[in-house]
Amino acid sequence: MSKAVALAGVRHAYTEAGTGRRVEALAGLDLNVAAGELVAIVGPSGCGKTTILHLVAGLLKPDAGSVTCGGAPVDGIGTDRVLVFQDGALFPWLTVAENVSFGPRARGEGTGRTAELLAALGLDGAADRYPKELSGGMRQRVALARALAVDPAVLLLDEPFGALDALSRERLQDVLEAAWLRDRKTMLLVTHSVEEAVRLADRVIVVSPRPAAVRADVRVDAPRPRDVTALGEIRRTIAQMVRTPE
Amino acid sequence: MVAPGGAVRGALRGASRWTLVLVLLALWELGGRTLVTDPRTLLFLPLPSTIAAAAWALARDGSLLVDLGRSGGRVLVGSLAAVLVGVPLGAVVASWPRVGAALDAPLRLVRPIPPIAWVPLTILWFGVGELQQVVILFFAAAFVVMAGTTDAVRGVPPTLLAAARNLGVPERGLLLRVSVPAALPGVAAAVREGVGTAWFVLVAAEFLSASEGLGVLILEGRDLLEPARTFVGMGALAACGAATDLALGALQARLTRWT
Repeated sequence: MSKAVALAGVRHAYTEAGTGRRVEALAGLDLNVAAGELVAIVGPSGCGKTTILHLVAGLLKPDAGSVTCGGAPVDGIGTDRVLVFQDGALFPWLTVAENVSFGPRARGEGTGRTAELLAALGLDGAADRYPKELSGGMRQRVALARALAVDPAVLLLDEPFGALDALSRERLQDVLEAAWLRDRKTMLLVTHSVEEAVRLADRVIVVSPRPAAVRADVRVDAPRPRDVTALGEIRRTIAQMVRTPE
Repeated sequence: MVAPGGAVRGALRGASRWTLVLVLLALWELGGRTLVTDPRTLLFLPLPSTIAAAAWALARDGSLLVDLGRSGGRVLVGSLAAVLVGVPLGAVVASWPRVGAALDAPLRLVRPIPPIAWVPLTILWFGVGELQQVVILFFAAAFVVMAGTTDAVRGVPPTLLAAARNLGVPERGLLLRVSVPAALPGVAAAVREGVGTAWFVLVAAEFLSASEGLGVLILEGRDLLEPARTFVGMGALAACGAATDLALGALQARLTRWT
């Protein structure tokens, strides 16, 4: 299978605001994601998971090592790799439909697949509403639809359901899985929920506390849709690794 | 769509907002008529009916309209100039940190000078007249508009800019597609505050160097020993300030329906 995303020996350090200290987020990280694969990254909070996504998105540059997408080195932000922010980062002055069609319109392509995506993500009843009128779950649906509207090769999801209540969270996981099953896009999902990772991902990458390195690469082979209660053992194993420092 | 019932309720709510004002005016009138017997007291603290009669007389001879027009025109022109200069300047200071850093010290020094302190110099530079009046109001409003715009543009969330670039907006498109709409609510609030400041400073500027205007009307009450005139001028100012603020508030709500 072709590599959709590859990180090889990636190092990244940043200067902490306030103290001015250099903090090493990644110290030689290797990660490969095949085309069409849904990979989840789990690890303790503040371990540098988000840094991995920002490097693939092109928001950050690696200090050393290489980041490639579809075989080509990542050079800055691009519409082939779209990031879904934790808070959605919706444009508050645009309606739901306008948010979703933002990407296609910015590139002069009209509204693109907006109508189709609104229907697929259960948003057609809310097309003319503004983001402030939406629940957290609805906002994340819009964020997902807006990202899918530019038809990226890779979708990067940064704890997209982290701020939602349990029920909305489960619904959104179903929505995400359905979108993935439909388009088979390569997806890289950062989450602090082991349950979410096991439920959705083909592979779960466990990263160690800062500086992040891959501690385990666990394949989840259960058929979809998955019943997480039946995946107790794999969940416990991963959760154990996330909790205990080596 | 607002249902007809809702419109009626809205109108009633709008009217009930002024109930207390009307009650206080009625108490003032009644209290004055029943409790005050000394005519000198009624001269210096005239009753609402006396003030209304004075307002009517000033309206009939046209002088109230002239004063209103003068003052309103000064506020309008001074505020417009303040918006035209203050909004772009505030946006530049916020967008280009080096310009902001360079302008920081001079602005810190100039800003605490009360607008009225510029009156002597502006009279020497521009002579007594409309230009000089407008320049004072411009100073007063421009700093408010500029500071508010700077805050609004600085407050544009970086994630919105990153999201827009990620969705395919080129660097040069970010201003119109993201920064302007994201900063609009803050800029609108700053403009509203700036116009309010212009009304505030107007009277002092007119006291010092104007021959017509609401400030002049207020002074005439003392000079002609007709305090009712002063009350008419103060009432007109209150009405103008409140009306401008309500109108700008409605415009602001229309422009930023999403907030």
